[in-house]
Amino acid sequence: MNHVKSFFVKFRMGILLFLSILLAFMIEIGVFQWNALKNPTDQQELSIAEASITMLQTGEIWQELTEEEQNQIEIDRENARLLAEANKTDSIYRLDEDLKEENGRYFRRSVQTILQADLPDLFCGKMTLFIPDAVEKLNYTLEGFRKDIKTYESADQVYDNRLGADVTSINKNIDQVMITITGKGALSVDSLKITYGNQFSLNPLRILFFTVTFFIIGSVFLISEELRKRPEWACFVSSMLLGGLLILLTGTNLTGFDEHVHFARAYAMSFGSTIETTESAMRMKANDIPSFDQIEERKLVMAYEEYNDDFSWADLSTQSRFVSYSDRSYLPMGIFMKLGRILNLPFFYGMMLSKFGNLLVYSVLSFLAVKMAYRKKELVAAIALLPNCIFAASGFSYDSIVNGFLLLAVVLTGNLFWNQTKNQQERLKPVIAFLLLGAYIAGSTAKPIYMIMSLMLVFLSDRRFEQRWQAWIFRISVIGLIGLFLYVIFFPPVSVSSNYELMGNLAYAGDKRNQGTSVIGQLSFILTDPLRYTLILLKTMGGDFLSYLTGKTNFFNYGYLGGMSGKWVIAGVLILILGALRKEESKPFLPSNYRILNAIMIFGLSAVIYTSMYVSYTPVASSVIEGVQARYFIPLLLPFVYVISGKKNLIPIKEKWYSKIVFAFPILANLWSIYWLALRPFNF
Amino acid sequence: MHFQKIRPETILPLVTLLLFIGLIISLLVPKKVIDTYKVNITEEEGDTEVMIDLPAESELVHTMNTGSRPMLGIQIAVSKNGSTYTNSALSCEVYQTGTENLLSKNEYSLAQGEELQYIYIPFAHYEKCLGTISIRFQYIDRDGNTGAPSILANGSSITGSRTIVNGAEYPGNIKCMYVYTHDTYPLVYDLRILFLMFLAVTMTVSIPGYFHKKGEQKK
Repeated sequence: MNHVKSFFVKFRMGILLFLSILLAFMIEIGVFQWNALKNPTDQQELSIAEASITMLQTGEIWQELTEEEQNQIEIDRENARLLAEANKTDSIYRLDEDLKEENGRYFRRSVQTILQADLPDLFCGKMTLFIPDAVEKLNYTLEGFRKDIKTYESADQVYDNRLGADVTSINKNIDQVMITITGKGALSVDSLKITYGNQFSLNPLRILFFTVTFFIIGSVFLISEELRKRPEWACFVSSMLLGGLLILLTGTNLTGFDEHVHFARAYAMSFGSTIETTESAMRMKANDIPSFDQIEERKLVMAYEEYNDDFSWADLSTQSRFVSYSDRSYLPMGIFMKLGRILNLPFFYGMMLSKFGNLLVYSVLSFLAVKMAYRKKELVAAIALLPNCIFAASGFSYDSIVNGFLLLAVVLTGNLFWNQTKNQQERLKPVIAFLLLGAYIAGSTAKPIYMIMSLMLVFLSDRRFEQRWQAWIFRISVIGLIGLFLYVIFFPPVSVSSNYELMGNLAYAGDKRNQGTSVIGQLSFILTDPLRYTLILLKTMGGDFLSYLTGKTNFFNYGYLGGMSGKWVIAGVLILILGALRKEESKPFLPSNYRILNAIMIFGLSAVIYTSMYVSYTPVASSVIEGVQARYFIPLLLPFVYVISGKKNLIPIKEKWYSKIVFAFPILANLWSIYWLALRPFNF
Repeated sequence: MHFQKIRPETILPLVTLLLFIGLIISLLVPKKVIDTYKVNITEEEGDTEVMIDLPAESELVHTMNTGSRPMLGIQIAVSKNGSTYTNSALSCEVYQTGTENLLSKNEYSLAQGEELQYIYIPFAHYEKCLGTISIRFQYIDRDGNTGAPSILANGSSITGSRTIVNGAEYPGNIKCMYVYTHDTYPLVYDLRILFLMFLAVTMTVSIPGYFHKKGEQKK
């Protein structure tokens, strides 16, 4: 009996992996392939040429642009005016000839064609549309009918002519389909055809997702002792697995608001002084790369990108070999992108490798943060594994560098104050000081405002240094560093070879993604009526804080892809509070002066973040502050936990259960997000 | 030197000192970079490109204000109008408007370049080309060509600038880019940060010798 037990203990991870794979296959076959097994249908083909599809009507319509497009036109118009003013030229914004403005709204001239096809009354799994003559992107919708009753209606679909086909999941019994296609120009549909059917086809990505899901959840419960003893490894492995899964599922789909901008900088970073931009990279930079929302389309996108990743006709441009300070956060992505080219990987996989580089650096930083944390290791790991952090680390974004380094920096700072209580004699070691300042500097390079967090070091006791004057020079140096980083926000070191006067001119400063911004205008508004601005600031900060705590705002979201419901957010906040209030045995508490200072720092930095967005992103004299996102406060989560950590053990929960809960929450939150926001919408 | 002998007490102050010296040197030796302004490159709605012919003996004058910075040169679009040139050139003279003092004189050889392209004409004594200046372009025919080059213009207005062709005000402006220069200090940003960082880290080691005062060291 003991042999059997020891066998299971020894090989439990292997057994868990085997069972996870088995379960994943069972779910794939028993749930997702059930209809294909129950109602198998051979591939059917209908076409206009064979008259199995008929045209109902075609004609010109004026289609209202989306809110995003409407907004973009207004922003472009305003920016053109500002640029002309700066260049002392006259500016008349030219509206595209296919657009018209009516009552402040913009419309596009479009051609609409409605087609209809009668089908045998069969279960339709997926329907593929082919329009070989299409010369531009088209929008289309599919409506399915059975016995003249509408049983299916698709969302607005995009037919990307560069891919040559578009797939829609119907999963209904239908006997008639209506296709409404809208395009900018004349539409040739003579060669249009559709194929549909319902055949057994395993989805490897779905199987992988469920394997990882069962394996990772099983691990949390099976190896809880190791989890408690070595949380840094659990954090590292979870981060790599969850992030890796996300990278695999999103591929080259751009999932962030300005991910294409970050991609462009990482791409440039992967070259020396000559940048070779292939058509595929050009499309990525322009946010115009074909995307996939079905697993079949994924293959089409890969083929398109591979064909267009030809360096023999790449666009050549030059850049300085000197890596500008503002681009250094892209180094991991750039290096791994270069590695992808060295390995001769297809474009699709090369881009995934680049994201993987970002993830690896983030996971290593998280590992170090958890390992070096003197207390609350599980909580540090939970923060590192929050969905926003994993999402940022798995895409083209510098947020992972910001979050990773600042997490490490806050941990090391906390250690000093904890140890101050524990051992007042202990001096600050050079290697720790180096790591600490390096982490603050690296984490603040992309977002200099976070350097304010290092102000906590100024309050280190004199006893940490051999001489009092050394302590003071240390403090002055830290304040000097903060000053330098804040100076950079207003006066960035410009090394551009054009428009230097304009770039360094505060009169034109302001975020050009939003209308009506002006740094000078907003500063003068604040200074003219400081009381009014203080009220705007406090009202916005208080409102946002409450909405984060109560789950009204998607605090743990996957950026542009969306987020979880408020219940998840409330659960997350409760776990953070639980972790903060639970005192670890035999470990000292944080001194109250440090907790108070942390609270002041959090309030002060938050006010600066809000003010910076008010100054640079919000239209002048607005009564609300625009542009502040929940992710900006991720680096402040751990300091917030420190603030509410008290002397008393208010949550007497057993350590092994505590570890499981704290680990399980972010892992489940990520798995939920990956399933609903990356697997289902892109790979079903 | 054995690695073990590299002690933080020695290496950290030394690195800090080197960074400080590097910072001073970087501040004293700036890097000059070109700073280009596209002032009139694209046409607004209803506007079109126009070729202003520049036969020998004619002139095109473009007046503008450089502000407080001297102008390094100008980029204009020149068409050869299908002619082949060997020794002919486009002369570019810069005068101080009002005083008519010649500040700079330079030539661009028409033997080089494409049929139609933006050419760069540096000002010979650019440091003098400051304030309100007149840039005079003339074609110098040394090949006996029947043709002559043209300068590309359009109907756009540029605040504070005008274009005069053979003494008559032109209802628009030449298509051009103004080229200035400015000093950059590419290493200063990093050196300032590294210096302060190393200075702070140096403060965590025992500074030997004369920095210690009796009884000051904490127990």
